[in-house]
Amino acid sequence: MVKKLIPIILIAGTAFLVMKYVKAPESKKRFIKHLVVQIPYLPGRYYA
Amino acid sequence: MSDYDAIIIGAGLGGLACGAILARSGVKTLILEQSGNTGGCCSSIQHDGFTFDIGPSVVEFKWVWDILFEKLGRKTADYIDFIEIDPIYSFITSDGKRFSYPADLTKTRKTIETLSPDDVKGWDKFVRIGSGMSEIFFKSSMFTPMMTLRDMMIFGIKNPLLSLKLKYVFINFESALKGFFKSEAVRASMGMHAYYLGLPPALCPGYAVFLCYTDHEGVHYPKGGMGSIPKGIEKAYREEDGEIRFGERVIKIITDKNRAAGIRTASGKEITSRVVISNINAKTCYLDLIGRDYLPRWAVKAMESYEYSFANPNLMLGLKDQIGLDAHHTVCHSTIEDMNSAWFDYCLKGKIPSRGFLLLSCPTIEDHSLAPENHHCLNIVTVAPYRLSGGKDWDSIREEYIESRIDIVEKEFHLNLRENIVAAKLNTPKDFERMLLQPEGAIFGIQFDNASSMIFRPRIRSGAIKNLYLVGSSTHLGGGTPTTTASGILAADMILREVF
Repeated sequence: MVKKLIPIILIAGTAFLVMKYVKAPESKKRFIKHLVVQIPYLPGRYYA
Repeated sequence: MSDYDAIIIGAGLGGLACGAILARSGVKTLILEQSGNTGGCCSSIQHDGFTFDIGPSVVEFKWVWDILFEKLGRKTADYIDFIEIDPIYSFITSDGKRFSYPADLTKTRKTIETLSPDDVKGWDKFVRIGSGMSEIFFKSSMFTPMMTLRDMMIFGIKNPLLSLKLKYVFINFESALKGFFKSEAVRASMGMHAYYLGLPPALCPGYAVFLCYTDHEGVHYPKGGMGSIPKGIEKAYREEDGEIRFGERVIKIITDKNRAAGIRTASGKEITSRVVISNINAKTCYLDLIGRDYLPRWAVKAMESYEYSFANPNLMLGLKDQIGLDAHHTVCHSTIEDMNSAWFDYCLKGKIPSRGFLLLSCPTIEDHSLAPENHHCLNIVTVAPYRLSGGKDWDSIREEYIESRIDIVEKEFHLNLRENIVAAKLNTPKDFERMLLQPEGAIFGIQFDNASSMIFRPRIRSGAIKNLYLVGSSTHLGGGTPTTTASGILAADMILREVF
């Protein structure tokens, strides 16, 4: 039962975050976008 | 047997602070500086009888130098003569109005009340939270290495208030300001502090907003120019038998089995040492001085991913008369929208912004020794891109740029500038790069957003190369005179604990 709920919770959570992003003012969008595009580099940066 | 115990590449504030502590502890230390002066970005130059600061123009957190000189068994006042700045900022609007923020919090409250009576409550709240945040973010974190998640967790446990104010890490500077102040004029007056982290208000982390509070804990200027700070530390370093060689550019950090073992200079000298401390930009240190072939692939990718903050062209003017400024720092008032636009619509597109950030720094208001009698120094600092669009380059637009900045100050802010100018010198981003070897002329080094600060900024103790340590603006805690000095103190403490 719990295993079945996890994907639903993840999808709902992602949808919620996307909705929040879409409705956010331009300034916040820029702030989030600037950080999100750097996520792939964080593991390397952490160890450097 | 190595030639030296420690070699420091670059005599910036971090390198000097680190070197002085190491030398004091009996570590045989050599500093190699490519230019003819100490200080790096925090230097002063002589031009036509005037002393101009090339980079920062005041300091916050004076206590950092007190900690440094205490570690050296000395008193700051014997080496650097700090003068308190008051008012902290004066503002001039395009319709000719003036207002200022004095160091005294109650007096600044009155200024806020005049600007926007509705924001007095917000100011009180700002001061209340600001004093707590000042302790956490700017005092505690200054001397915490912040290299691993463990460091972060310990920091969080030691500073429980942090968890209550964590939201300021996850919102931007602009939103943080909106949480306190309703008036656009008040928010705009504090917006320029985002530029202290080398970012526009939309991209700067929210906690930086409290720099507007820490200003009120004291802003100082060293008598004789900003270059007096590195000179003071250099003096202490030499007294401890530390060695400095000027005009020695390091082109290679020699590694042996993933361990720093020495350096090679442009003149071909190889000098070995037990530890190497880099006081140059982290990207240059890793990618050029060590070299991609000697680094793990992940480290190369990580270094390549860092972006530089914007550049600050600095127009230095010698004036035969005062032009009506009443504070060391006068900010030509702008809007938050213009500050963001200067980055997104201009700098990122290779265009020079005409609005958004214009700081007039007049250090001769406090220190008359910087100019001939009855004369004044004025720095006009703005933001600009390193790469210009339309096939232009900084060397070809030098005169055009000088004229355009003078025009803005005269026409938009009604100051009688042109007829008072007796000396002029412009440092463009290209000049900064040539003089200081600071890539792209980015005086703040690599950007300081959440993804490239704290545990995501290049570590003070390198994670990729053993016995290599980093100090200065591209490691923890980023660009700024107190922070780069603190990085040197942190590195020295770490080296003494781990190596010697």
